[in-house]
Amino acid sequence: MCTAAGIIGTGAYLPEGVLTNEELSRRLAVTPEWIFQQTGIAVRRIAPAGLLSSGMAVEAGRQALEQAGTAPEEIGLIIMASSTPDAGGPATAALIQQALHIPQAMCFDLSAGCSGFVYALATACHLVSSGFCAKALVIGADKFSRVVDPDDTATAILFGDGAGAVVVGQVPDGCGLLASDMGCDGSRFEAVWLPGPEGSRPVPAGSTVKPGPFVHMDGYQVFRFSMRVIGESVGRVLDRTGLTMADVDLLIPHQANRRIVEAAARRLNLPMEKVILDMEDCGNTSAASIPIALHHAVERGRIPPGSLFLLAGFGAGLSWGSCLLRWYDPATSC
Amino acid sequence: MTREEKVKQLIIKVGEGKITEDMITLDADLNKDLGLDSLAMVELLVMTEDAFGIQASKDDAQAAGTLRLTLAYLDKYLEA
Repeated sequence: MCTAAGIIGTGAYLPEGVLTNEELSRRLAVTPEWIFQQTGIAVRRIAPAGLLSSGMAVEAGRQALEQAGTAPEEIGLIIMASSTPDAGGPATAALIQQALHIPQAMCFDLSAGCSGFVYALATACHLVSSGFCAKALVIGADKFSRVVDPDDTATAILFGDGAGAVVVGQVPDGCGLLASDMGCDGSRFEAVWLPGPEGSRPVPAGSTVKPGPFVHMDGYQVFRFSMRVIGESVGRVLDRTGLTMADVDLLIPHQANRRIVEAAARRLNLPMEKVILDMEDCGNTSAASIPIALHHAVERGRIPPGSLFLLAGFGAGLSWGSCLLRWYDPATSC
Repeated sequence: MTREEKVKQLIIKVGEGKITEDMITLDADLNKDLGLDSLAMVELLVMTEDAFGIQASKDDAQAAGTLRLTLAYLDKYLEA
C-alpha cells in the first residue's frame, strides 16, 4: 500500500513570558534598535522554570489534534523534534503520548537542530504513506532559554521558547508531501553545539568547542551555510518534481533571523511576498519555528487550499531539510 | 560584463535599494560609506563566491572592505 500523506491539522504554543530588546540591551552592550536591525526580532517568549519542552509540545499537539478532528486513538506515531528534550530518557515523545492520552504509538525524539521538524515531517509522511500507521503527530519544541548564555550577544538576542505541531494523515493523490531533500555535513558539527539535558557540554576529543553549560554558535559560519543551503536544497526538491520557483506560492523557512531569510530569498530571486517571516514576536524557536510559522500562516489565511509551499530547515549538524507540499483542505478536496 | 561591473551589481543587490552604482567608487568603504553591516558583508561574500566559483578564506573576506580590495582578492583566487 502506498498513498499520499500530508498535513491535516496544525497547532502552536508560545509561553506568555517575554524578553524584549530593551531588557536585552540593558544587559548587553547593544541598543534595542541594533538588535532588531540584526535579527528582525522584537521579543522572545520565555517558558517558566516548570514548563519544559514536553509541556509546550503537549499544548501545540492538543491544538493540532483538535484542528485535524483527530482522536488520540487514531495516532500511531509521535515524533518529537527537539534539541532540548526533557531528559536523556525516556523520549520526550513518550511524555507527550501520556499527557495526550494516546493509547498506542511508536514514540521517539529526533535531534537535527533547527532542521529537526522537517526531518520529522518527511519521516512521518513516509511512514503514513507506507501504511505503517494511519495518522502521526509531529512536533517541534524547544526550550532554548535553558541553554542560552544570557551574556552571549550572538545567541541571547536570537533564541526563544515555543512549540509547533502538525497531524499527518492520508490525503488525495497530488496533495501532501510531493518531494523532500535532507542532508547533513558532520564535518561542520562544531558550528552549533548544545549541552545535554543534564546541563553540561562535554566535547569530543580534539574539538575546539569549549566545554560549558550553554549553546555555542559560530554565527559567521552558520550565516554563510544557511543562505547557501536553503537555495541548494530547495532547488533539489524542485528538480525532483519538475517544478520551478515560479510555481511555488510560499516559502516557510526556519525563522533563524530575518537577515538570513532575506539574504537567502535574494539569492533565490524570490520576492519577500512569497516568504513567511514569523520571528518578530517570538524569536528563533529552533525546531519549533517552522511549525509555529506554518500554524500562524494557516490561521492568517496565507495558505489557501491547493497552495504549493516549501518548508526549509537548516541548523546544527550542520543539517538541512526541505519539503515541498501541496496544502490539503478536506472542505475543498485539495 | 567585467569583473568590476559584476561585483558592483552584487553590491547593489546586497544594498537593498540603498546603494546606486555611482556611489561605488574603487575606494568607497563598503561599511562606513555604503552602509553594509557585518551580515551584509557576509552576504556579499557568499554572492561573490557563487558568481566567480571560488571559496575565500575568512581572513580574505574580512579584509575586503572596498571594491578595490574585493577585486584584489578575486585576482588572487582566479589567477592562482
